[in-house]
Amino acid sequence: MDAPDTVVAELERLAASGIAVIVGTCDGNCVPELSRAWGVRVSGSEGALDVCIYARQGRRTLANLAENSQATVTIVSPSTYRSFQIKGHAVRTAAADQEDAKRVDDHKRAFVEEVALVGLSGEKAALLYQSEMEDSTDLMTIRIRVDALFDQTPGPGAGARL
Amino acid sequence: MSAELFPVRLQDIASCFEGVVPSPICTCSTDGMPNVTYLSIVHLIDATHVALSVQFFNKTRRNIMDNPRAQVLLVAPDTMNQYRIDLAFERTEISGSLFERVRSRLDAIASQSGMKDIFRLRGVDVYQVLDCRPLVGDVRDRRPGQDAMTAIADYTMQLTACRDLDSLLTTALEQLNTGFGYGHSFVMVRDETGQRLYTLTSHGFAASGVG
Repeated sequence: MDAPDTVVAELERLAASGIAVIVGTCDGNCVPELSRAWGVRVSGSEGALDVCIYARQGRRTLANLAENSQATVTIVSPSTYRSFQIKGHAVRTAAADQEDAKRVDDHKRAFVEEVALVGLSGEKAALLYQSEMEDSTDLMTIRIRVDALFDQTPGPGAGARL
Repeated sequence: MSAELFPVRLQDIASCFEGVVPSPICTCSTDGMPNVTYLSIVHLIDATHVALSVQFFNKTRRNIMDNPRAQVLLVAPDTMNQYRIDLAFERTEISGSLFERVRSRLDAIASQSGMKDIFRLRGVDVYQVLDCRPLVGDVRDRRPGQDAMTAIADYTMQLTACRDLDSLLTTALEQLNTGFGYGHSFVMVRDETGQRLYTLTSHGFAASGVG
């Protein structure tokens, strides 16, 4: 990852907290698609990150990546609005392993605690991911090689490359 | 395009348009690179159109000018149901009633979230809705939506139109009944000593109670 070490360290810390994670992709006709993702793992040394999505709600995302590997991941802290946008290429998609599944569970717990800070009850926060699991509990892990990192925190500096 | 073509009607998910849960938007450059950022609120215009405020999401704007397609993820704050809406950019408005309505709502959200100095409305982009569908499965708890924000906006517009205090007070209480179902209401103010309250006007009571 080209970004300064301090930025990468902050990104790694943020990724391990109760952030909201969105993956953006588009198909061969440049039609965009969003999916909510869980269990982010940032590896600054490898210049990559892993995100997990539920297969059915992310069906088009997975299909898009097979056609066009370009992907964007936006992470935001619901309590502070600190945000990063990571752009790159998906290099691997596979069924999630036990380590991925544990990271997703840890993330969900942290997410519930985080959104409680902005007044959302744990019961409601849990509905957000429970609905995604309603049709399918199949988790897929997407590895994305990072090409560029942007500050996405609301304000005049939003969009600045890091 | 007919609204019946959507799996979910926009008017049935009105709470998604109150700005309670921020909505991610994805656009795409012509070379196929997606961009994702957050909107504080998506404004419902009618059964097939929504409006997005133009503030500081520059990459989104550049993408939209080159490729008009976008997708927004909505969350209903009452059920936490999620919906994807596919959009096609139509036009930008920089003045007029829609612009003013968007500005007033944005000001309210900015004030509540401590971002009053950050939000600045440059324009309002109007999009045609191409599709609206639940993130997964069927829609739970589907019911006709009540757009509380529109009701509040209508209410305050009627108050703004009042030219004197009597008409303001009368309209305020009558419309609380008509628009929100509060049949009994009154306005109390402090007296000149600041020690006691007295009733300035009332609505729905057998005796007015004024005084």
